[in-house]
Amino acid sequence: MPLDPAAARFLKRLNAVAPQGSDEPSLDDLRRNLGALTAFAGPAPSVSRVDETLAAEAKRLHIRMYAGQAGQWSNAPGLIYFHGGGLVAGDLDTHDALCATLAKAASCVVIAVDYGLAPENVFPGPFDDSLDAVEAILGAPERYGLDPARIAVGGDSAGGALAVHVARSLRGRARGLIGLALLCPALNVEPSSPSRMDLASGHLLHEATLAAYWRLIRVDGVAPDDERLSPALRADVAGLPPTILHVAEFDPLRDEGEAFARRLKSAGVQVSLRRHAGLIHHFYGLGGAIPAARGALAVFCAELAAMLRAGA
Amino acid sequence: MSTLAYPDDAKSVDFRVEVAAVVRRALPTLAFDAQIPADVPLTRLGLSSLGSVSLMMAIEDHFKIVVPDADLRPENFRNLGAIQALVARLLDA
Repeated sequence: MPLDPAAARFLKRLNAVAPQGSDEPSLDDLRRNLGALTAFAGPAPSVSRVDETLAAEAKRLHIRMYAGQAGQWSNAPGLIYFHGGGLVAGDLDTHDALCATLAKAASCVVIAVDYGLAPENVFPGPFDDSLDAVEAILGAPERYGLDPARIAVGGDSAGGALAVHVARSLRGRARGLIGLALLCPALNVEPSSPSRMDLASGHLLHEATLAAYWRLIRVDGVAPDDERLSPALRADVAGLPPTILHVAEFDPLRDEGEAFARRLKSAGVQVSLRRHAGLIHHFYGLGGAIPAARGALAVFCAELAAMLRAGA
Repeated sequence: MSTLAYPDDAKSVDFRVEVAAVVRRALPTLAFDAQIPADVPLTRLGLSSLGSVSLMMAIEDHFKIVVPDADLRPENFRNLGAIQALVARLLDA
């Protein structure tokens, strides 16, 4: 299928105004651009939001809690969520509309975690923050209004790698996670797949941007095939909870997401993989510019709601 | 309430005010009572490159026009005056 017409219109204007060369963008550019993308999210549904600070290990992490239904702060199904942005950009605000939509459309509580960003939070800092946050929430779910039997983790783009790391780390845990929900996850640092090569530029997420993420995250001793950064390659995935994984046809990360889904399936993990035809990376944050993206996100939310119901 | 002559008389002063209003919405950091000079680059007034895309689409939606590929150039959106000239040309076409 060709690019969705609205996605094509958006990309054409984006590429005309902000042509991306082969130069890697700076950290400031990466952060500013992700912030500016919020202009295309469209209106967020009305939900209750509460900002809190989580005491996790020796650190304090900010979280934002969303209640999809009025007064839903007790024994509710919940999704603990990690935003994308290459582990170096993004925050609670850049993904606020998305989290509100997830909460509303899946009738659950969403807890977005403001993990510390690299490079200031040195690798594996973002992964450690994410796991610490989830452990703290699982240790006192009632404090966050959650039903301990219905808690899933999820994330988009690089936030997907964080969610996978958390789910892998907590396998076999009593009162553990009942699901993993991934939107266009970034699961392989190496630009080796056909989609990474074929869609290397002109489709919102450029290879030069992905290279910049890796340059900013990289520390001595960490290889591109690190299991936390590239779980699509050979990480042991047996025993992961049921997984929803949605990719977009014109996303350079499409193939690594699908490869990961195949690995889950061969390891006996229940997985629902969906490829959204005609759409691009970050479609879930572009509903204001691409009407079809809203429909695709609604499908993801319906699957998330079913996953959380199944855990009851 | 002002009477807007658009689209029958696209060259009216009101039409330029409408363009300025759309541009202003794309510049959230601008003080509410600040004037937007016609010749100052919008990037200097706080517009990011992605903000320019948002502005392009807002202009198209507001005036029910489509900017042709040949006009999708940064210079046509560089400042308020350039956008007003572009919209005037497209409404006249």
